Amino acid sequence: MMNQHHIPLLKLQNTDVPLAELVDQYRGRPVGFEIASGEGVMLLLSSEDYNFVISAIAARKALPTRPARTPAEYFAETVRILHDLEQRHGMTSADFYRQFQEGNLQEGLADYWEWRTRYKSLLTMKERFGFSEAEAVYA
Amino acid sequence: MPDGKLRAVYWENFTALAAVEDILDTTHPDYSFPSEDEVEYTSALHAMLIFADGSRLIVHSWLEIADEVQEHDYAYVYLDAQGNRVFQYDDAPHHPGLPGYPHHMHKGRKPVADLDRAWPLDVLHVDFVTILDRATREYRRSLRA
Repeated sequence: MMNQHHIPLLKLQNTDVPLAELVDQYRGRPVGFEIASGEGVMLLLSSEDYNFVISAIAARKALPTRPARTPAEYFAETVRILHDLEQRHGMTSADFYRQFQEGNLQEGLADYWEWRTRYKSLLTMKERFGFSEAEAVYA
Repeated sequence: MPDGKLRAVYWENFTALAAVEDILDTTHPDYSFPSEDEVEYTSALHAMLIFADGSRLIVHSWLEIADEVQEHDYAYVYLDAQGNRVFQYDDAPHHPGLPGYPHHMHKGRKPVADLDRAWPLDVLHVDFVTILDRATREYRRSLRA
């Protein structure tokens, strides 16, 4: 028999955090339903889940983040940043990445760290969303 | 394909950051942290965290989704208020002789002329929460010094 005294109740009402999104984020998988904003909902959560949700809501209120965009906008931004890096250093991102990984380019320049990660991000977005650089440039 | 794991990691990172909010200068123009959508869609974490004493933690990390989300092609660079490096963790495959290759760290100021010596990791593994904790401890240590 579950001891209900150890299961806190969380009531989310008029919050700017959609409940389904919050549950989705925490559980790490889609929940497959929507709850209209402004509706009150009662949840039974474990203490661990309850503490995490409370922390997430507090974090969202306390800390600023960069604005959210669409996947296409993030892809276009990545292409633009990579293009700037390529112009600045006179090589393609693919060449840079290969040379850096082979040790022909050392770790000295601060640009290299962002370049490396952005390039991997570009490859990931191309595979995941089917984007191409041409679409990003002319979108 | 992403299945919510990146968002879960994002919230672990974000709540860890909120726990040290009191020592961050989130109004500094250089302060920057991504939205959850950015991490989800780009599979990357780019951040510039400014601490109250002017020191900063620069973060660039690609997030690979396997059984768990793993950080690769990353660099975490912590600079003091004067811009001198305090520590750096990265996985550039340039030091094959070190235990834990390719993961390694650098300590102290970056040498101008000499080679930048690499060291084995002094943490079990590199991820945002671990290195944020490392930077936070360094920040508090420097305040006591």
